[in-house]
Amino acid sequence: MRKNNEISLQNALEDESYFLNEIATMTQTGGYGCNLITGAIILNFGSRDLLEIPHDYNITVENVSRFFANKKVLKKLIGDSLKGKSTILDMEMCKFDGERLWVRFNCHPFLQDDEVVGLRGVFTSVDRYIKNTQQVENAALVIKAQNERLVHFAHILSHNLRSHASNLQLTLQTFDDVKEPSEVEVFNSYLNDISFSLNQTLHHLNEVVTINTELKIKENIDIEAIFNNVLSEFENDIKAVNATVTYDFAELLSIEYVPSFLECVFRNLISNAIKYRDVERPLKIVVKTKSKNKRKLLIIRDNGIGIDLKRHASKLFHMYRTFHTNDDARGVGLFLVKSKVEALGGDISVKSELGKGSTFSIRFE
Amino acid sequence: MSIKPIQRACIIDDDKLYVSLIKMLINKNKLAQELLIFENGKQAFDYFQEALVADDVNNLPQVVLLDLNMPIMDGWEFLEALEPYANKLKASSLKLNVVSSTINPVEMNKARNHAIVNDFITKPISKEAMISAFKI
Repeated sequence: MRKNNEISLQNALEDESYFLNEIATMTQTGGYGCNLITGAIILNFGSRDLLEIPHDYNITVENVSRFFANKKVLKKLIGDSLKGKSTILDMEMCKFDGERLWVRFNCHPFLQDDEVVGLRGVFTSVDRYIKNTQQVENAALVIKAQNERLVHFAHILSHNLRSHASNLQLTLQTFDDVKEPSEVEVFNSYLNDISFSLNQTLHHLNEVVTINTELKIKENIDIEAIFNNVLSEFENDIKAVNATVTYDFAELLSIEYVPSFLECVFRNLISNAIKYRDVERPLKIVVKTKSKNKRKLLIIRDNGIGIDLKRHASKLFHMYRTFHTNDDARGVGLFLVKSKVEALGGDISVKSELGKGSTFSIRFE
Repeated sequence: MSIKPIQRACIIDDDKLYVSLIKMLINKNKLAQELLIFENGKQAFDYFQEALVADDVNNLPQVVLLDLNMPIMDGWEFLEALEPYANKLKASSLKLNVVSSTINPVEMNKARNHAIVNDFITKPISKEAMISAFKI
């Protein structure tokens, strides 16, 4: 008796079907077979479970493609199998309700008398791993961009401070033996200039630093109201240069945003449009919002002198870069706009042609 | 320490305060009789090109103090634009110095090893460095 029990215990512990079931459950794996002669498609329990297919749903060669996210991949898979080739790949499948699922999928042709009469294989969910990897990759991209900005920021900070320090040293050196009152006056005016520049640098740096430290409280804001507020600051300039400003916010009237950030965007882009207008023709500024799918856009277009993007695209949004001979161009504006837009998860891009004008597009989120 | 003033010096720099200070140092120490000032590489290049194309090397300065970080055309772009005239420049007695506050060793070496560049001088430029830059 005891010996018989031992044998049946041994058999039970070695039961292959138990192992297969466990493997299928643990690894979220299912199997399938396709009879190419009758067109019947058989999915085992694991497959139906994985793709959440009801038990009474009949799968055939006609409706099977709904479970494959990429029809081209499916076509190639079948084509290769019919030629007698086996396939193993990672791809996206669709569950019964349409939700996507990453799987590792294989497919082997089944031959009878050298003819492919069936296909079969297994697929196993790798969704968790692929999605984790994608998340890590996205996070790495964001961190990389932030890091580049910080390095650039530190670089500009040290360059500007060095310039002021260097001018201070040079001033002290040049005026080391001043006695004449007129020279003392010049000396003082130079010190004043340096102090002014130093203060301005600090002011700009403060503004940049606080973008990422101050509380960013989003409110539902009326875009037109914010725009008109900012526009009124430029009333005199607009009259003086005889500019026309038109706007159309119909597609997107309001947005969840930090009001001061949107003001900063409008202020800098309008001021740039006025600064870099083409004196040959009256300035026209066109502002509008767009809402396509989930994308919310703000577009500001001018007919100014334009920007040579071939030369400046990579440096355009960098701090303290100016590309025109205008005296008041300081290059801080676009850097601030970009930093603020990105701090809220959006981005800014520009299209421009020399002599025609520039179009700035802000994607809000 | 006094040296013979050179005929013509040239400053290419967008920092107005720095330019006025250098101007004072040059006048005070009688380093040059004439001074050309350009706010950026483009302005300077236009002048240089005209003199070089016309083979008018007498219009060229003997000493140049070139900044690197400038709008419109920076110091590197200026040097690149001058490249086709390298031989003519070397044949003239022109002494081109890069004067910059950069602390990037790559930029410093690049400047020192540049065919047209005579020397790299760190800002702030001292009176001694100025005098030695004006010795030709």
